[in-house]
Amino acid sequence: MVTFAYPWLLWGLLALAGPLLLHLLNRRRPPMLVFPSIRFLTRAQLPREGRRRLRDLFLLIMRLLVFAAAVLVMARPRWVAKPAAPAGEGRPRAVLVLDASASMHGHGAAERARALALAEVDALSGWDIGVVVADRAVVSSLPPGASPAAVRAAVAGYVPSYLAGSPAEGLQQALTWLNVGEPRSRLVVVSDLQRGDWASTLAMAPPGLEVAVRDAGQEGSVNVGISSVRGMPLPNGGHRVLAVVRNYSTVSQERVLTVAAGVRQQRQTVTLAPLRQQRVVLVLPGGSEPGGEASQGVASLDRDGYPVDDEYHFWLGDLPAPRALVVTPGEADPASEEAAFFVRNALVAEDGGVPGFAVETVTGDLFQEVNLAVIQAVFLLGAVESLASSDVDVLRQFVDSGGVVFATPGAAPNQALRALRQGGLFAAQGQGLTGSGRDVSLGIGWVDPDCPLAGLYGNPQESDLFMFSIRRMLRLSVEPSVQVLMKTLDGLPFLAERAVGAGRFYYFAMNFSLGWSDFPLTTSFLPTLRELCLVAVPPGYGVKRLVCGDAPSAAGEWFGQENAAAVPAGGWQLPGLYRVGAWPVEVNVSSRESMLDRVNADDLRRRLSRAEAGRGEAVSPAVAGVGVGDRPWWKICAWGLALLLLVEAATRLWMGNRG
Amino acid sequence: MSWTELLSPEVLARIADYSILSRVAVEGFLSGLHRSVARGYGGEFVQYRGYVPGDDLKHVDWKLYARQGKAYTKVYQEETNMRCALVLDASASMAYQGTRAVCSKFRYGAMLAACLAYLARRQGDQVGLFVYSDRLLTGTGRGQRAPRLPQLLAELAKVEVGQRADHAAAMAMAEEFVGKRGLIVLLSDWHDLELGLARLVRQIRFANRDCMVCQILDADELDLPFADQRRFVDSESGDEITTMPGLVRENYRQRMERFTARQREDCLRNRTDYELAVTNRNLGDLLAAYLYRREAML
Repeated sequence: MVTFAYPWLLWGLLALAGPLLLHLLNRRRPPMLVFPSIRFLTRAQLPREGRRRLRDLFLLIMRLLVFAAAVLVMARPRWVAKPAAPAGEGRPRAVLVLDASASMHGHGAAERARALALAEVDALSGWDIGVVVADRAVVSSLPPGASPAAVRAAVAGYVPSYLAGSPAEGLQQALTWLNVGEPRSRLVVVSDLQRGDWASTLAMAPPGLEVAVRDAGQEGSVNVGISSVRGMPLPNGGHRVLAVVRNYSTVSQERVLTVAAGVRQQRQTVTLAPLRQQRVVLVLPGGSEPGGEASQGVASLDRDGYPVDDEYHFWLGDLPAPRALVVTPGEADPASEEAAFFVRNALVAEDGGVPGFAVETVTGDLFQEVNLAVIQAVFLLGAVESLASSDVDVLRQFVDSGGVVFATPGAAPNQALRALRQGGLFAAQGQGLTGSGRDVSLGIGWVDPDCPLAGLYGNPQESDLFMFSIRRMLRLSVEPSVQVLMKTLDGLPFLAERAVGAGRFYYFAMNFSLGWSDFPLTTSFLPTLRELCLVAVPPGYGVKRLVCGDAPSAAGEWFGQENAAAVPAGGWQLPGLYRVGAWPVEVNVSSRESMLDRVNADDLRRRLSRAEAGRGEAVSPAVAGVGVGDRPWWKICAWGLALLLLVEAATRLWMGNRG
Repeated sequence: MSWTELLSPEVLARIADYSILSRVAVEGFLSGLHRSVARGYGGEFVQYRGYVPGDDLKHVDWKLYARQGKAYTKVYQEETNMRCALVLDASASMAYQGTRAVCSKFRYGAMLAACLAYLARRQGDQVGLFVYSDRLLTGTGRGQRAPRLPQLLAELAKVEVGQRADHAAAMAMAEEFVGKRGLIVLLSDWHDLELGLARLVRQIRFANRDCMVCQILDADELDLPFADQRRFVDSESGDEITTMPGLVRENYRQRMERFTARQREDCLRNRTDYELAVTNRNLGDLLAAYLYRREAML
């Protein structure tokens, strides 16, 4: 049986009228030529012997065949073998795989799927029918052999979930019930064929299995969805809400976006160009009641054909503070104690509405007792010298995974730098202290214009960074892998950075005590530390964002071991806001399900059963008698097209030469 | 690029300015022939050159020899009194450009006229240009001075081709211009004067004027190379004929040959130079053939 991947392209055969028309027009109207000496020309009868007419006719047929072959190649014809005839007395067996992914909520797909499945049940009267309802996993299943009433009830009870689809598991379940040895087997897939779900589906059906795909989707649908929403606190207690709204359809859409949190609510009309997304910023005023419902934001659009992505849940409440660890030397050191005081005060302070860090202080000898998995930033205030080599290795792993470490020189800076070099954290050499014991005063003279700090200190008049005095500092000689972010007036490296894995290691050439400089007393101290911490504590830190059905792979690291048990094993199945310990969790439907792109039903059917050609040896005798399955005829058509083009060109050349 | 390449119609057709074109063509042609320009021993003194054995001693400047101790020969500009009329057909049939030609017949004729004008002016002759279709499009009127070469070539560039040809009116003007003795060069395809050319030439020759006839045809007109059936429309009369060129080609060629042979015979019978110029032929070759023949006849 010949099938076409794109049967509508066969309308292109109407183009055959083109050459025919040209041929007839050419016969009727010879080309005109203005010629000076026509008085020497005589009229001549057109050749009646038919030889030329035959040549013309041959050329015409060639051109018609070229057109036809081109159309056929584009329509992708295939020969599909008929299903195997029953070889035994057993009842034939079929399994319906119903797509329960979130996209089935839209455009009436669920209702159509139910109707198609019931029609299939009616058509397969006398078969053993099984049912598998699956999104990314099998939601429910009914093995073949159940009564027709049970099958109909299973189909009628089908409801899509809110999870992104991945049909492999459901298909696998169905195939375990459809053995090739069975007299006759059929796999029926009922889905909206949304590309996001089916694009990566591989050939799974064994040879000889009859595969049918029933399309429950709808062409020409429109959809606008909310891709993401972020809420940022404002100093006045209000929130700035940034929503990203996306138009998945090919026509412009206008929607009303509503953002609500408790009693606070804002609306805005959004006009979206085809296939474009738009960022919308709304400001929610400060609420009277902190916490509670005011912390739970919902962004929603007026409903369209796919309502699931028209609502997005987001968190506006308090966020858990990031945690910083301040490490001081083991022995009593007033300078380090003073530095720890300044750092602690800077970190715990709120900065522009962003909550401060939760700071924990330990001495170097207790460093190994600390669980770095819950720490975002580590400050080694002259404490590198007190760390063991195993501690440096732990620090290296911490930075590798995205943490930030700050270090300042201590009692033996050269020894500390050597340890850091051996641990792969930093690469510099100390060349002694400068300014010590002399009446020398240094200051900051240069900030790397490409580093994040340049944004803070772009205008020197507005900052006191360049005004404080440095009384002592370590002369650093850094290697090329280290980037110097700040230099003193005489060009000495003051702050150097080294990227290690996903994190950063920063080394200040002085301690944060007043004996070394006035830096901790300046207004630049806090923003400098905060800006550098952003690698480990990005904006929006503290909110966990998941899609329905996704469980965090390392729940213990995210929420702490004590809270890990509160996370459902398969993730949260419904969209909404959840709380695990102090951590808010935003769960929304995957935006992959919002896309309107669909796979072709025939392509999918062939892809599912493509295994036949590659597993020829596995074909059972009964199946082998029927044929080898699908054959792509379009390749033959393509070769034919090339051949016809050659023949046509040769004929035209020959006719041109013959005159 | 050699001078023969320089004179090919492909090259010349790219030059829009006739003054450049004529200089390129003629200089190339002359240098190719190793001829001196019109310098000689009569007329106006032009320059000295070193004496070489064989020079006439009467042209040696002995006073200069006495002063410098070296012999120099005086060179003079040759003088002529000839007036030359270039009569170019600009009727619609001259607009034809065939499949193998790089320019139309008129353009080829205009290039030829420009070259001849340049040659004539270099040897001091008066040159008049008469371009005509059904009326005189440009020409030197009675009592007017012969135009300078740039002016003449500028007029040539402005001509637009069209209409039928009225040869007689242009001939009368040309004859008036050359006076009693002179050269009239006729450039046309002579399609509408198959029988009248002999009378025209005879009239010129009887008045003791020199005449040269150049018949300009396209290669397509000579061999009718077309393959498919065509509807031929006459460029001047608008008459149509639909025919299969393959079937009538042989007959056409014979009639065309008879036509050109008759034109040639009519000219030769009246002691007039005849040259068949095919538009894809090298312009330099054509000029050389004509000038050699003319020199031999003199």
